[in-house]
Amino acid sequence: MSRTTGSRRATARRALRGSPWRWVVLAAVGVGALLTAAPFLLLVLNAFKSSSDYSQNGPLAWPTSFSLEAFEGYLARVDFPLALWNSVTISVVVAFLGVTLGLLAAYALGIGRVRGNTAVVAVLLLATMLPHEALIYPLFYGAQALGLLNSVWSVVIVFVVLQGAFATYLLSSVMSTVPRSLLEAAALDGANRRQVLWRVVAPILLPTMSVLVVFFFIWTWNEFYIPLVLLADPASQTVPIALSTLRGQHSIDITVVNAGSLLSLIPTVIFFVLFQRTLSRGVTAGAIK
Amino acid sequence: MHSPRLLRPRRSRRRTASALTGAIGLTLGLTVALTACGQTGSSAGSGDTLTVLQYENPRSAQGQGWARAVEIFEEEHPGVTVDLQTTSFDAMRQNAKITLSGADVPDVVEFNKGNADGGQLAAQGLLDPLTEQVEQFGWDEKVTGSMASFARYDENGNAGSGEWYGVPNIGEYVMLYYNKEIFRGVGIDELPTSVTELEADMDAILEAGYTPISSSASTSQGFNQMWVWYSLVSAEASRQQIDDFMFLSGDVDFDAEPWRSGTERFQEWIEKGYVGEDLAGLNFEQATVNFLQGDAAMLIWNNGEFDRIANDSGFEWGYFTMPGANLTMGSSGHLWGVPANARNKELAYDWIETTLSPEVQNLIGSKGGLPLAGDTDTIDDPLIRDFTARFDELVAGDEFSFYPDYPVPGFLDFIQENMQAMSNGNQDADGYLTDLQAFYDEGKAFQTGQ
Repeated sequence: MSRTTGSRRATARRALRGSPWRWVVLAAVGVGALLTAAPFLLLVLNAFKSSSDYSQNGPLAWPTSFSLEAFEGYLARVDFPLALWNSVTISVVVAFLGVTLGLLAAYALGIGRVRGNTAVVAVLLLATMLPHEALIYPLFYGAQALGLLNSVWSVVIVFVVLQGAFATYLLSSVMSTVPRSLLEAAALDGANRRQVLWRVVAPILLPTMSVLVVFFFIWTWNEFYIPLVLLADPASQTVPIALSTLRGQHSIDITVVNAGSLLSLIPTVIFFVLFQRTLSRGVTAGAIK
Repeated sequence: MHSPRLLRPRRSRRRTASALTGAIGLTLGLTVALTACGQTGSSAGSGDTLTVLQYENPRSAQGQGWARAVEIFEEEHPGVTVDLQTTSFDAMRQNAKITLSGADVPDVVEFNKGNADGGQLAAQGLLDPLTEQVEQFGWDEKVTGSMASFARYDENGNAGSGEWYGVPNIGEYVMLYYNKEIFRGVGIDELPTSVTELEADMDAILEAGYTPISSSASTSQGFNQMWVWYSLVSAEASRQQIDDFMFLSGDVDFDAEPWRSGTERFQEWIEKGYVGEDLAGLNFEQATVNFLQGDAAMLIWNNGEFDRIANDSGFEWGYFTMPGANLTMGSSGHLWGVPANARNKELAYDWIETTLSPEVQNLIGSKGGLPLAGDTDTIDDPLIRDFTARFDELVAGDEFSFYPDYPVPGFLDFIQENMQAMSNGNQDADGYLTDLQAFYDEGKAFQTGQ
């Protein structure tokens, strides 16, 4: 055991010594990683500067002193806890309801073999590809008719449907790969359609659905245009919209925008870290059968 | 068929499935709980609340003035609360047409001036005409001349004539901020009094190794080059020429003065390096930072960055408008309007009147906000007093040339693309003027319904 590791290490060392290319590759990967992280690092760097420090020394310099001025400015101008609550509510509800809706619809299309299912899936795919600007007038008047303008539920309904359409498309194509023999076996054992869905199909699709939940959370979190129109009242604003109120026409508090962006990023980062394992499991789910 | 056997080996699956059901149940539970506490109800339109929608930074002069206006208004109207809501300039530009058509709209809105924004809202009937109230309250005595030009729109939504739809509180003008230390170091003791003198000064600045004017030409927010160009055109323009261009009232020949000479001079400035290099990717924020870092001797911008430069600069600075110019870039600020669907219109008029009251206007003035109806002598800070006095001078002389992108829809993007191309050397004055003529004429025909 120890010999194998030892010899393997030796081989690795020899390969390292033998090939300077490895160092080149390492350096290239390092530079690539740094470039990918650069925008985020700049955001962090500038969030902790005072405005005059930023103005005099530019965005690339190290802060002369760490200052929380920008964060204070942001929290004074925006009701961040409220915006955060609205965003979390919308994103969580949309993520779970969207996937549930998609699962139910996909079951009919992917397993149930409804007539014209390809056409239905095509229409749903088209719905997800439509630019939101094209939908905005009907959505606005619809929300108004329901009395849901300036209520987070208008946005929840819209995105449950839009994300649900995508989930239907994706899940129904994954469902068509579920072996028919498995479903037939379940039917032979006396499972009805509902039991087949919840006890056979849903567990198989669980990894894919977990990934969809994460995606829908992040996509909905970042949505801007539809919430902007439907949630004009500051009491129902989401985080990206609250952030946009910091931009003037001819002036901008750049350090405050940095601080605000950083605060707004944190929930998505936490969500991603929490679900990162499900995410990688879901991506590789199809690999082992 | 009905065999209970199958359930046994499925335990793990059942657990996952029940976990999922649990998650869904949780979500639904959350949904119900939230619906219950989400019914706070919207208060817009009820008699005891005045809803004001605006997009000024609360720390700006105007923002501070309006915070005071809320206090005054609530004192004068016992039982009425003011709900001062904040949105963004871009949100208002993108959404006003949709949100103002709703049933539940604010009582007063701040809206963007110009044919593409305010003009459209007026022409579509989303805003109420205010001519009657303007006369009743005497707002036309406070908002005069070119400050009133973008408050009035005709039936096609073109500014300059027709009914009043908006009332501005403040004004703005474009100036050259300059670094006194660089000017002294280069040996410039007196400020230039003509464009020719300015050019001689810029030669000296270039020789000393500084960029004369910090500029930008990104198609996203890189407005500085456009302002340099239009300032050079305005410098040689007459009132009539600019009004014809702005208000679509006469034929504009871009091949003649001041357009040709101003644009050629602009190209010369680019070629000589007066405005620096590699501007295509820079925006106005970066141009401001380049000036504040001490790399450039001057910055062209309006009063929007006055406060920041006063607080953040590490050097002595001053400002002057384009020397020897006939007209200077500038205009009124954005406007108060009353949506056609508003429910508390009487309170809305009182609100506008409150923001134009001496107390609010003088507060805005003391913070450097360039009020339209303030008393400049009440300002204590000499820097802000001089800066406001220069504004008053321009108002009195009717010397504003506005901003070049107002007249026709899509103009801003068109001009910005050409500014970027000229700064890169991909477009010259001739090509730009030809394209400009075509774009403007087409836009004008559309706007005037011909």
